[in-house]
Amino acid sequence: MTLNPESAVDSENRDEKGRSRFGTKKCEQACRPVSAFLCRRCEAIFRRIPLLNCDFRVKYLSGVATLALDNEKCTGCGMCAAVCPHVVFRVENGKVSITDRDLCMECGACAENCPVGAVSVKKGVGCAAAVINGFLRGTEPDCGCGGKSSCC
Amino acid sequence: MYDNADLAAVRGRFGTPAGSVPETSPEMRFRDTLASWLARWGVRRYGWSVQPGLYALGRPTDASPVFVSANYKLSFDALRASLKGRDAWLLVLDTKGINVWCAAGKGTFGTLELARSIAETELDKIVCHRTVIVPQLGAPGVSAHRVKFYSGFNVVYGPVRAEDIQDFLSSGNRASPEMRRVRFNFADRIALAPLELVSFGKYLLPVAAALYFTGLKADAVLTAGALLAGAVAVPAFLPWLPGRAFAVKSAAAGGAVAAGLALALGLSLPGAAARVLIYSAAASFIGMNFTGASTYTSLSGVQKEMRAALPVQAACLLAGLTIMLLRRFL
Ligand code: SF4
Ligand code: SF4
Repeated sequence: MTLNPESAVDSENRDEKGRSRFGTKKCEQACRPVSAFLCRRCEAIFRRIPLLNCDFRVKYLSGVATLALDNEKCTGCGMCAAVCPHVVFRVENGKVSITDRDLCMECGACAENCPVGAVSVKKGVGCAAAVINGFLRGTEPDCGCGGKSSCC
Repeated sequence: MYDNADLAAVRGRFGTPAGSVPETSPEMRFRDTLASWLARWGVRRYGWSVQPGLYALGRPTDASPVFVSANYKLSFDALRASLKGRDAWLLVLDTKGINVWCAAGKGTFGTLELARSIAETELDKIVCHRTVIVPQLGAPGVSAHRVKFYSGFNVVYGPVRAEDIQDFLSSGNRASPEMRRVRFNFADRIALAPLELVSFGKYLLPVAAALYFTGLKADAVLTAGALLAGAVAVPAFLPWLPGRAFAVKSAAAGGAVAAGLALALGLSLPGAAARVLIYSAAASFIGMNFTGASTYTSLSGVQKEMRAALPVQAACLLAGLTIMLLRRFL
């Protein structure tokens, strides 16, 4: 990635003729201060192709996620924040808090990895086919990924 | 077509203190690209599993990092391709040929399977450190502290996307917040469209053909249109379609396509209205299934959405069919 020039080794930043790879027209775009690239709708940093890369931080239905955090038990280890794919937790002053519950997709990673059991969530896969399957068979939602078949 | 060694791009054996292990390469061959296309189109859907176990990549030593992966060819390929120029061990869990995220949701990519694999491959004899790098998307199935308890190995969660692994390694096994967030951009979404097309196309294309040959040519076109709306337009335009529920987004896409086609086909107003009702309901149902492939829908949300959407879809379908029948007999 070009956004972090520090991590690149100098020799790798030069082409065969020893010219710097930075400072070209294409690079100027990538190296412009990030604030210039903040998307107003999602605050994500635009990458390479702005429009196509933007996912607007699309949100799903609000007020449905079953995520709960027990502040008493939490030790602030930050494990939940590290595993959450939707940045639902924020660690501050040794305590963790939920930023926006509506972003939670109930994957269960946080609960699985909290060493003291301070997070709870009803884990499930948000998949309509699985819900229909479970309904037809009278079981919990099940996409049938178990044995020989698969969904996702 | 692909044998076991071929699926994992094995090019020899590599000796370790615990016996020899297959050696794989970070090169992506034409066969691998072909395999990923076939898999995306649902060909041999369950036949893309790599032999589980430990693999050597490059010339790994006892200090080289250990990466954990699922035994789905696409997951395995993404990992090895992103480790170009590095020496590493790849520990492939038996997830029945399912990718990391889905397998973690099911628990087959899980704590016990990881602990079992570590023990079975005698990883403790091969490496001198006690760390395995697990893809972050495997976290729903893996409990880091329990893996430590069972196997003595520490779990470090790697970035969400394999392409960030090089940066992750250069920054001392630290993933930036941006590497930790799941994205769902245009490329991610459109890559999922073929499978949606195939899974609904196999029912709807014969229906469209039947309609065509019974003389209902307009409806044949509209059926194909609803399929494209639900299976391609919904993934492609997801953020821009109105509403949050997938059923609503897809109904909008289906309604727009049906209205456009009805106009182009020159249908009368009641006929067009009936078609819009029928085909937006169909597209809504198809698009609702995209919740399973999306990266941000929760089970509670999908259940709520379906409870509301299914009756409405059925009602629209019935209303549309009633209008068409009435027009025929009145
Ligand atoms: S993992 Fe558990 S203990 Fe650690 S910060 Fe999160 S809630 Fe607190
Ligand atoms: S369940 Fe998953 S998405 Fe929800 S907060 Fe926990 S880790 Fe994040």
